[in-house]
Amino acid sequence: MDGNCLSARRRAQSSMVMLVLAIIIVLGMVAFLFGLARTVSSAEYLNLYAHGLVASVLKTDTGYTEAPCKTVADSLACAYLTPSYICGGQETCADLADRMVNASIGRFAERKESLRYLLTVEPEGFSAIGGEGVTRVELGELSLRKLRESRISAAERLTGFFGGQPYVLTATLVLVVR
Amino acid sequence: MEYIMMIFLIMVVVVGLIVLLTGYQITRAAADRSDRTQDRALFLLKQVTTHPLFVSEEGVLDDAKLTALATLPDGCARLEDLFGPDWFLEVETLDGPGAACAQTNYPACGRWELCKQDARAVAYDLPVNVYRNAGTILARDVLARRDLAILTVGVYGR
Repeated sequence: MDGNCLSARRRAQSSMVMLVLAIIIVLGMVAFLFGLARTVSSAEYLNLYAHGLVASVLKTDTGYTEAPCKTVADSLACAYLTPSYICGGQETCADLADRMVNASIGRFAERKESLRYLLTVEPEGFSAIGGEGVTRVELGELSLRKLRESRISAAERLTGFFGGQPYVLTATLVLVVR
Repeated sequence: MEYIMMIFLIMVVVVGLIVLLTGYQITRAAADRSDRTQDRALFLLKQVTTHPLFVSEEGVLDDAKLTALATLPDGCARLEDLFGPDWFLEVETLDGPGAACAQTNYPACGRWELCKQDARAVAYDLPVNVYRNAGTILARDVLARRDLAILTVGVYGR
């Protein structure tokens, strides 16, 4: 084996070693960058926040003392079942529910910028389509109904008696927090 | 000459790898510590909204219980015995007077602070209700009321 061949082989070996070392460096840097990029999952907190928001808004007192209008949950059920019912001789259930939900969630929206919401109240398990009367109460941004991504939803069941009849409704809050 | 260059490069790479791995470990340890703090803050947030020491029902904090805890001289120490050290909670009603509750101004107040310190903390807030035992005072009656409030629970990052 002559000197030129030996030298070429050494250069080739050196190149191979350098290539392997370069790959190791690249892998090390990738691992380092993955370590820097922390993946803090906020999904659990946002879920908790949405459930806390819908539960607390529904339980809040409206200021009226009679049963169909006492809490926001009562006024929403009333807005679904008899929207023209007058609370305390002043405003309809539908108006009261709208005012209370907007005011309540608005307070939280002041603290969390870019919080958008849609609150839907409908019967549990089915909803009438094209029938007479109210089939669904919707408060907030209706455009969120079609949004499928980056939204959080939380639901609460509304149960009680209205005019001697039991009712079971579901209040679903859809939140978008950017 | 080529061997010397190669050995030099290998040394550089080895030192670089050591630095990278050390940095990676330090970063991971800091991230783990931060994750633990966040997990604890979330855990405490859930505890406060369900523990009978604070609530009259789930998600509804009782203003009388909060006032009692806030005005106890060793209230914070007792809470730290139960839930561990270095954390705080703050409750603020969204309407009504925003003064901190004490024995002298209850129930005309709307803010409670427990174990609050002037230090950096990881905190979460959550919408809750506050059960106002004397919510509406009428001429011949006192009615309870559920108000909207914001609960903030934080863990000091020491």
